[in-house]
Amino acid sequence: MTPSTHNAPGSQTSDIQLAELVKQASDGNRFAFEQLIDHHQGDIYRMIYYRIRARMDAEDLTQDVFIRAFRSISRLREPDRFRSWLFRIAINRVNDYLRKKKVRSIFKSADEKPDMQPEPSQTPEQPEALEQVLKEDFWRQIGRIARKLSKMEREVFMLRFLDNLNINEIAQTLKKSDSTVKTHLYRALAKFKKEKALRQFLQEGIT
Amino acid sequence: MSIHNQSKPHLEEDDILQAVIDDKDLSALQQQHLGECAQCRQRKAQLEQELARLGQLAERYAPKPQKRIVLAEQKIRSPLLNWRIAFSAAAVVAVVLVVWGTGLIQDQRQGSIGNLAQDMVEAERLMTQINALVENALPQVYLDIVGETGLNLDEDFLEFLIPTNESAARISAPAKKGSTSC
Repeated sequence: MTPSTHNAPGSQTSDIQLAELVKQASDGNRFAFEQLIDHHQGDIYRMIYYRIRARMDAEDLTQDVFIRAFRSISRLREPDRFRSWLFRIAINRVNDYLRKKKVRSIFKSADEKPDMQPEPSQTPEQPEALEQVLKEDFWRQIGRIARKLSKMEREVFMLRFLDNLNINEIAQTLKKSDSTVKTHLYRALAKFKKEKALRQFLQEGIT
Repeated sequence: MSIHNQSKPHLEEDDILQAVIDDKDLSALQQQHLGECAQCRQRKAQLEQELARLGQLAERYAPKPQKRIVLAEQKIRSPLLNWRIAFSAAAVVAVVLVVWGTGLIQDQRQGSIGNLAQDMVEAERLMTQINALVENALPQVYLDIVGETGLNLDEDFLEFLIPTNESAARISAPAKKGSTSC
């Protein structure tokens, strides 16, 4: 079963309902927390996948994020910040993962680095060849611009335009002020504007 | 604002970026222009569309998760964590055993030392009794009857009463037949 997404049509849950679920989960209501999982799992999984590009590891990390959240949700004082709190846990887990991967890669020889290879096509429902080429090209372009951004620029850019968080949520997630987030976002957008190839790729999809 | 449209200047590229991030950060004049100028709105909308497309494609090209979240905590325990728990438990058991064993040995040592002291006291008491009997084998009752308690008998008197074999032989020797004395 594919988990629902945050903005999935027909499964909209109001902010008030979500806040109520968070309160119930804080009181130890497991069922309420499972509903929160259903609501946020897709967003958190994708957020992790965008950063590590390994499906199975992204699934494991997603599970880990929700288990950590379940353990510590009683300490969450503001239920309306649940989403940004969840993203913060996810970012920390991703950073841990990337750090460990970097350390492991030091001790591996060049021919023992399967993680560095692009993720192979996995299922019989894999897209057609053209779609596959476009997909690989897209991630290559994303990788190229990601390398040109500083760590903070990359993080705010991805949170804003790939993960669809608003400025306030990004600020809460990264524990920065709104103005700091906007400054980094502005710099990232300026670099994005110079990426002709990526912009052309995107414009072809729009027209 | 640098690009001019009739009387009002258009927004610069930086202002468009600013507007994409948060159009409330523009000055009142710039906001007014953005509201009125179709060209500037078009530039902003185009950039916003590109960024929205970026998010859509990322979602489209990300593989779908095939695993549902299970809240059972055992599932996330790595083998390393299990080893840590096992090692910790073993360490605790070892410490408990060492502490308990040390206490037991100390108890045994203390017990054996106590028994030894008691045996020595009893042996000493027994030796005292034996020595007393050696000095005088008669019980106190009989000593009171014969009225000999507290007598200080010297060795000559005792030799007279109970002669040794040597003195007995010396006394009896002159009585033998055919012997002469010098």
